[in-house]
Amino acid sequence: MRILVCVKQVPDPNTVVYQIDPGTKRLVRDGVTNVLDPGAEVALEAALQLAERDGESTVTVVAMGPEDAEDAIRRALAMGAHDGALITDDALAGSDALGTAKALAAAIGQIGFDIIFCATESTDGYSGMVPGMVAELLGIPHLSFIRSLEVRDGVLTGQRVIALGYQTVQCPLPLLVAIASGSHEARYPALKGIMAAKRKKVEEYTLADLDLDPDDAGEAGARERVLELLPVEERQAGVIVEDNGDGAARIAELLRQRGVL
Amino acid sequence: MSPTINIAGQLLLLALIIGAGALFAVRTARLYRIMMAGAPTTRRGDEGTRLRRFATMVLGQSKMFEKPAIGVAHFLIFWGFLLLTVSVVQIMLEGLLGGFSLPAIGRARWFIAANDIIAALVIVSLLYAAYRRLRVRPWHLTTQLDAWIILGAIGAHLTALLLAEGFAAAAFGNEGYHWSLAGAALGGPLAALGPTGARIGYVAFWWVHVLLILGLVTYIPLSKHFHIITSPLNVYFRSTRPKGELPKIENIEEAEHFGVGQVQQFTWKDILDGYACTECGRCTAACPATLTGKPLDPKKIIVDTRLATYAQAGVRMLGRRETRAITPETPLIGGLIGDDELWSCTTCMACIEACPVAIEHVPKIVDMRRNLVLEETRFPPELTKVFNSLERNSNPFGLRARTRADWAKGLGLTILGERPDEPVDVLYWVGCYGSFDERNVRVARALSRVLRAAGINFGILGVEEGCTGDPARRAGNEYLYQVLAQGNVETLQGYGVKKIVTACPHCMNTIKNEYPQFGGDFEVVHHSQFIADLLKSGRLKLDGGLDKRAITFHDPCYLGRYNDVYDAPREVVNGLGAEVTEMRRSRNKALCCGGGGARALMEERIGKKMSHNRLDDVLETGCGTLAAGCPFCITMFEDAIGSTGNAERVQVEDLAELVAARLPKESAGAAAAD
Repeated sequence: MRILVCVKQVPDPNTVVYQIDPGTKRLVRDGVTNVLDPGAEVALEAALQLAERDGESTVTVVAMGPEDAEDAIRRALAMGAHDGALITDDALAGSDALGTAKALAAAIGQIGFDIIFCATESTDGYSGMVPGMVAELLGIPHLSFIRSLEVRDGVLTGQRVIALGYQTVQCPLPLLVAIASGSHEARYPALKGIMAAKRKKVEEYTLADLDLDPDDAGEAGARERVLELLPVEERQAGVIVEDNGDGAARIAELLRQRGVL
Repeated sequence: MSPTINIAGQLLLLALIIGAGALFAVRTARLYRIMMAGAPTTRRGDEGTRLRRFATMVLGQSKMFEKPAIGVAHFLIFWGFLLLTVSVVQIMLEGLLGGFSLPAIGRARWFIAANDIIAALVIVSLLYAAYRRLRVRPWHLTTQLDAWIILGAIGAHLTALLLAEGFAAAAFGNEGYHWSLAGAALGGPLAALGPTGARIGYVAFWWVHVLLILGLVTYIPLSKHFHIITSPLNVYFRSTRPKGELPKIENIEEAEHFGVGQVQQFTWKDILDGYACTECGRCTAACPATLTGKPLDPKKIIVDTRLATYAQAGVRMLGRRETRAITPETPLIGGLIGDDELWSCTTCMACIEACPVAIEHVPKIVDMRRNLVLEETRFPPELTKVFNSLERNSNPFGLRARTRADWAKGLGLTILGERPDEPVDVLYWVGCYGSFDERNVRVARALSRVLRAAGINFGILGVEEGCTGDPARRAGNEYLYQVLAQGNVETLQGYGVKKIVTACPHCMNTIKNEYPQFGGDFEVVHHSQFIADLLKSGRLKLDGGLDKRAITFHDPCYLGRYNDVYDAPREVVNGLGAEVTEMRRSRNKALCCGGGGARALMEERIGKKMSHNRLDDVLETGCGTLAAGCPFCITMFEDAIGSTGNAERVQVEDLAELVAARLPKESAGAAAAD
């Protein structure tokens, strides 16, 4: 099987306090450690496990981003992906979800595939729309929130996470699966993998390579506009009541003040 | 009369000696070849140190005496064995040549009397050893059939010797054969058997004696008793490098394999360690993981190494239960040694410290962790976050690198990068805990105040400091460690740093003992040493008035066992006007808090918490203050004290905090408001 995994480079969600440029409404990337999106790592892990069980599959990672997004691809290659593709073009900056999906779909169409893995959503943008759009543009089914899967005789059987539990679904290839976050424990690259990744091939694609117009993607093509960015309201500190015999009465008073009682 | 009777007997003896010698040689040669096929390690140079150790540990049996009773018994067996070797030569030649005496001593009364006395003492010692295995039964001592074969054969061959002498005296008169103490004692009663019976007894027991010796010779390489040859060698070849230095994987980017996944990847010295082990279990008894019900038993690691080696060599050990299941294909990790055993180790080095024959357990465990991390990527899941954060933020906590110096805000400390033309005398290496961990930030601030009060011209690296790599290295991620180490060495050299003080023994150990592997040579001292010197020279004066008995001190492994610093922390406590109330396990016997070897950054899922176990020692002293000198220890103890509800009984304080609280008012004032 030819397995494709869409990945993304994001500011390290475990360390970064997000800063947003109020003018462009984009993330400030200066001085920020960029990493392979942990969500994408989980999707890649699911893909690698499928490829390992199958033994004859190749895993290609596809990313769109600035030149240095190649670091994220290298990390994916170190984890075990066979090769990579980076869509990078100055004209792509400022793409909205649809623009991103168009570029990914175009590159994926050129590379060829049997199955595409995506994260359910990226850890920075969180639109969650790109997997569905890519599937639509390629004209293939999209299975969302997949937590486990198996492919036999060209048919995928998988479990979807739903509110009540899990739903077992089936679909013939080709198709796109969006992997539920937390469903797989992403591996840490082995040193051999890190060394091998330096020699693996990463193909670069520009807008021209993909036969896309600047109107299709990037700032120019973006129809979706971010109007305003607001910080999350900080959680209020709680009140600790120490019981000196009158604890219950004081708690009742506090509740009364807040109109609960 | 010669015990071999005639030429046929002499030839039979010759054949037996040659046969036994050949078996011994073939078996030992196989074990030697497989050992020398191990990875290289340099164990030459420092011959003076090696000979000194040989003298104390082998000839003086110094470590054995830490357990006095068995120490004395073993001392007698060891020296008895050496001295009786001369008598064995005498006896074999006597049998081979049909009567022979070593010149000068062969028939000398003092020689024979000495032999008899030694033989009797050895027999008594062996009886004690047997009693210990049967009745005392220390829990860490596992007894295999092997042990009984050894004790039995040694005891029996010496008994046979004494009996042979007794029968000879009965048959020929004590002067007729040759005079002996045993003859004098036993000759009379045994004469009751009549001359023929006595002769038969003499010949029979002489042969029993000789056959048991020859049997032992062939048996030794198949048994842990091989240690009589390998342990002395092992002591001699023990590393003379700093104890805290792990071997570096050279050219890691080009290496074919990483760490040890198969026994042949161990160094020849690691394999010799396996041969040298007598399974006494002193390492087991000292291991904080074993003591809290973890699957790790340092002795088992060494025994497993030996079992795997023997399987590779195609030599089968005798008198053991576990050998049957092991084939050359049995994997070392996952087959003989479980992953959990390796991840339970805190690298505290209590095992190495306890071992009477200089076995080096910890580097082996780290080598196997290297295999798990760098090749197999099999490790506790918490470490993924640790490794990622070390790689991205140069701290294990997932906190931003650029906030590293936030702890020092408002203190007005010199940051080297900000004032390049104002050189400092000493660099204060803060470490990740001191920089980021709320509890240990208090230590960093306290130490800054102390240094300031003593008028030290010091600075910090601020955001340019990075993790030394100790947790990565001890967790097996040598590659990540090397990246971090390289970066720090370049930074330190860039500022021309010569002298470093730190409150973290792990940072201290890595910079002092391991950075030389990257060309970084710095003078590194622990803050306890630095403060002790300041107190001695009078540059630092403290208010006294502490309760003399209020303080106990927990020796950090990386300060004590790793770097032999035991007195400085106690001198600091003396400077506070108090004396350390020692725990029952202290100094080189101190029990680990459970935080080393990156354990502080992993979950402790199996068994009792090691920190709780150590806290029991602390509480036993009745001291209200637990003085500490390591951020890992402080973290572990804070957790243990909190989760066991002992905050009322004891508080953990770093030495720097205790000192800072005793700074005289005026110098405290001068040392900038905290």
